[in-house]
Amino acid sequence: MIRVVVDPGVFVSAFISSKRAAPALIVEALLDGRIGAVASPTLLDELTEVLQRKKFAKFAADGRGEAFVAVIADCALVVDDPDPELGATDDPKDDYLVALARAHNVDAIVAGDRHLLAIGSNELNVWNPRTAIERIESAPSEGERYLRSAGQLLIGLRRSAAIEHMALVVLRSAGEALALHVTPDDTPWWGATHNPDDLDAVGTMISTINTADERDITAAAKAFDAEDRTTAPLDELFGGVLWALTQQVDGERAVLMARDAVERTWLAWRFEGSRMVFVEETPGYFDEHLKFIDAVSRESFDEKLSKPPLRLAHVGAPRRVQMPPELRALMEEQVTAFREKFGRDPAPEDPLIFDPDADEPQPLPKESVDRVFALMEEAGLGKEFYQQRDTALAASGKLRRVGRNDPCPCGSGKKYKRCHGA
Amino acid sequence: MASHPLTSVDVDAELLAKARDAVGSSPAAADADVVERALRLYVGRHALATAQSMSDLTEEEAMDVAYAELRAMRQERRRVA
Repeated sequence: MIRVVVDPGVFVSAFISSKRAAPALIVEALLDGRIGAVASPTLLDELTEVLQRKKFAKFAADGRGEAFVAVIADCALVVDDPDPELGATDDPKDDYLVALARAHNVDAIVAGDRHLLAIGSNELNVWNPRTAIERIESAPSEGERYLRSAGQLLIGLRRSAAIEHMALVVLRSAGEALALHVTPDDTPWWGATHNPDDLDAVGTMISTINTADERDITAAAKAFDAEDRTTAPLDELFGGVLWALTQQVDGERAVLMARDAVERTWLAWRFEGSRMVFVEETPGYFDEHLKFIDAVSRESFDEKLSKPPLRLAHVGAPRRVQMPPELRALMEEQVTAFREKFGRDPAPEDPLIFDPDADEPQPLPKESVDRVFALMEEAGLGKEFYQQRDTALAASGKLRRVGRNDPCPCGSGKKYKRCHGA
Repeated sequence: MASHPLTSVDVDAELLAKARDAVGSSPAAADADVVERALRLYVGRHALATAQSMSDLTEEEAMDVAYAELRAMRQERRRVA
């Protein structure tokens, strides 16, 4: 929502002009809650006093002036007057408005006064009422702005590599489960290769897979992949990736799919689950993982049945780290938005990112998730982010396919072409 | 805002819920605050509409008059001070 400081002269103009005049439309937008305004005791005192002047007697009679000021005070955020920035304008009496605007980081001052209009700059916008109305009417809706903020959070997650890691954790788990699934081996294999912090979550995923019938898994995973990833719990996400591997997609495609699935699922996660993505990139983790996925995805089920269980040799275990400050700020914005919307703190079962159009906390519907991704693409922060990262990794030699003559990632000691790449 | 004597009223709960939604009050806002806000909006809008209906000024004229009076008020304040 656009937030402004409205010069008292504009409020007075709105009161004494036609309802179609630009100042009146600004007041209407404020009363409708389409814009936010910051006011101070000095601003409201000036407004009150001007409306009491003889010139406006007929307009303000019968308590109308007082009622008008009261509704402005009710709809605006009324804050203490900051110290005026003396000399900010040619008229010292306007300086308090500049101080107010700067102290509360509003989008603009709305004014008709030449002294104020003259100071407009990149650092502080000063709009005349007509410009302000154009900006207000072309501004995205509150729901749209919320979706943009969700997109910013997702971009922050991408940049922190959190999404990447969650995708790799899921891929690795899925790949290992696939290997186990086709091998009659009850060894608690995953306990040896995962950080103990992840065991609860991974264990839940694995047990879901291990106790389900193969056809059930495949059916659920296909349904997940084909329909709605946005509300799928993590085990279904896992199932979706597992299904991708059984379809023998190549390693790169599996990674792309896992990233997409994790991002979409993450947008629907609950507060209690969102902590799972904050793991730190460990040197070697990414490329080892790709080797493994590549090896697994090249095999058919029948071929696997004749081979020993595929195991990861030495991959770095993900470690939890503190959230980067910029990401913490984005997360706190989500919490603030939740409090403003629902009037309470979020509970563990509440969605971290909620449907802005729902009366109760609900995850984003699929079309809103699609909109988040579209907004990120429009901002130039969409899929090319990963493309650039992958290009950089490829250039650094970290991202490479397993060569046919390389040692097999399963740790057998054989060449890849003689083992899982046969 | 000046404080005024208070009075109590019974309000249809469904109407109150609709008012809460219409005035944009949070679910945590007290019922009395919702009613006061709804009434203040109603009275304020009515006052504004009535004042505007009396105007025969163009947008530019209204701005000129408003700023002339704002400057005059400030000058008078300065003289008094």
